Amino acid sequence: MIRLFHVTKRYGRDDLALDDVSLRVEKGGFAFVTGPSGAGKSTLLKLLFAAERPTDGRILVAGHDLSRLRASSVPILRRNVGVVFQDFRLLLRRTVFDNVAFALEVLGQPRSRIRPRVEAVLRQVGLGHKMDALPLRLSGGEQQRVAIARALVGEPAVLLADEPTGNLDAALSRDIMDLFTDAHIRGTTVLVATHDAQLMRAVGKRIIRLERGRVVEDDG
Amino acid sequence: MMHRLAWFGAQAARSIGASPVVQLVAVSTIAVALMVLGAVGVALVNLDGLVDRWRADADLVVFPRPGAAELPALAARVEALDGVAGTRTLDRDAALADLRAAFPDDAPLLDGLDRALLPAVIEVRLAERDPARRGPARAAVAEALRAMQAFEAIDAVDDGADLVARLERLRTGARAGGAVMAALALLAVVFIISNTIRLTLFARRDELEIMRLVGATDLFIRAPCYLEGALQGAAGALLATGGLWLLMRAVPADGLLDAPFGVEGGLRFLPPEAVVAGVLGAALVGVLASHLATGRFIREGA
Ligand SMILES: Nc1ncnc2c1ncn2[C@@H]1O[C@H](COP(=O)(O)OP(=O)(O)OP(=O)(O)O)[C@@H](O)[C@H]1O
Ligand SMILES: [Mg+2]
Repeated sequence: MIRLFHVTKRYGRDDLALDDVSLRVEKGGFAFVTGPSGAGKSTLLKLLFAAERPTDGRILVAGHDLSRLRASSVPILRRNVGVVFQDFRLLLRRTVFDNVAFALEVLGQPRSRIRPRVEAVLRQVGLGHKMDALPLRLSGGEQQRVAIARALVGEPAVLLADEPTGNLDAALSRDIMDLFTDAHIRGTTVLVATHDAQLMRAVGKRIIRLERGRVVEDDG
Repeated sequence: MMHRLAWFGAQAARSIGASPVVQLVAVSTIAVALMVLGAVGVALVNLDGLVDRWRADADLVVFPRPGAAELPALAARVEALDGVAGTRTLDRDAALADLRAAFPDDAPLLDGLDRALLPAVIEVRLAERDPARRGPARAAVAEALRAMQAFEAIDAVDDGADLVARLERLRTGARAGGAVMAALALLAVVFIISNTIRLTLFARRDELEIMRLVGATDLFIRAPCYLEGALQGAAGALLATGGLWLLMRAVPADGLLDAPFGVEGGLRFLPPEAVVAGVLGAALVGVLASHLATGRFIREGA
């Protein structure tokens, strides 16, 4: 589902963010990406949803060859890749329901199809009772649930998360992580970048460790 | 399809509603630019009418030699020419009365006029009424009159060609000037709308970021902006039309231009098809301006 062949990413001339990275995450797999600050975790994820382009090497995601992806094909890739960030990135003037529905509206889906799907995914992340709330009325954990619902509502094949629990305490982090393992069980390929060693131990999945842009450890 | 259009419309309405003051300023500024353009259009329309009417109505004028005694006889011979419908002889007194009627405010000035300076004239009315055929008909009659000049007491023949030529030059110049003004006005409209759209894009940047993230195509980013730009252009054009119409009603049109250049029945407004074309054109310019603004935004964003 995700494959990297000798991928290098430089920002500018000598800022080497990823250095000859090769790895493979099977369809339906689950892996953590970890490593010290500046190791290249975010860069790796950005490459996977085509927010950045590799300087060198080949990347395959959900059947798309990202090194050769035309700009007009980026939307097609992104419909297959859900992304979650540390800072949630919710639309603060829209309700929980509208935040999630927005992701389907902008793909041109009809309202009649959107409503049941949004309600189902919000119940799945445990927010069935807060659909009409505005994001700032929610706790941090609840806001991240909305963001995860938004990432999952289009039923993507791949779910990427960059420090999704970075703003949350340990207990909330576990709850959020349960949502990812839940998505994984439903068949989604999941890749989570995190610093949280305790969390990774608790979940007990494959860990890919980056340091200075190189894979230094991979137990998968 | 319909739900997409509905979504585009709702998005556009949302962004217009989010910044009513900006929209109002933009539409008013567009209206001012288009009003200038409309005023140029009105001037051209009326100048056109003037030239056409002069072409159609300018009767020939025969100036008898000073001291010519038998004006009625001369007039009869002129009237006998092919293509002439009739004549009217104006002796000095009649000419003065005519002038007084044309310039009622200048009566004291006319009182001091040396009557000898006012020549008697014979006005010639052409038989041909069809505006398209009046030019050649007039030329033929003028030629016949000039042929008469050799053995009749005719001093000069004025066939109005001079005046028509001057009006023609004025019209050509006005059209060129109008085209330049039009280009400037359109440029101003494009500038205003594309900057307003840029503000809209900036205000919606968090939404647009999410749209990109979840795989919305450029069309979904652009279409609401196209709609917004088209609405701004059309609203500006409608406002300009209304403003220009009110302005023209406020101006005392009869006093604007004096006889003999006076425009009968006041200034003419733009024809309705020009107004419709203007509103549609402004909407189209709005779409173009939005296309430019969103294009830049899409190229800059990842
Ligand atoms: N947009 C950018 N322009 C220039 N350099 C960048 C950019 N993004 C990242 N870098 C550099 O690339 C390297 C890897 O950054 P990256 O954000 O991928 O690290 P990270 O592992 O996510 O770190 P953190 O744990 O702090 O989030 C760093 O040296 C960083 O300075
Ligand atoms: Mg990072």
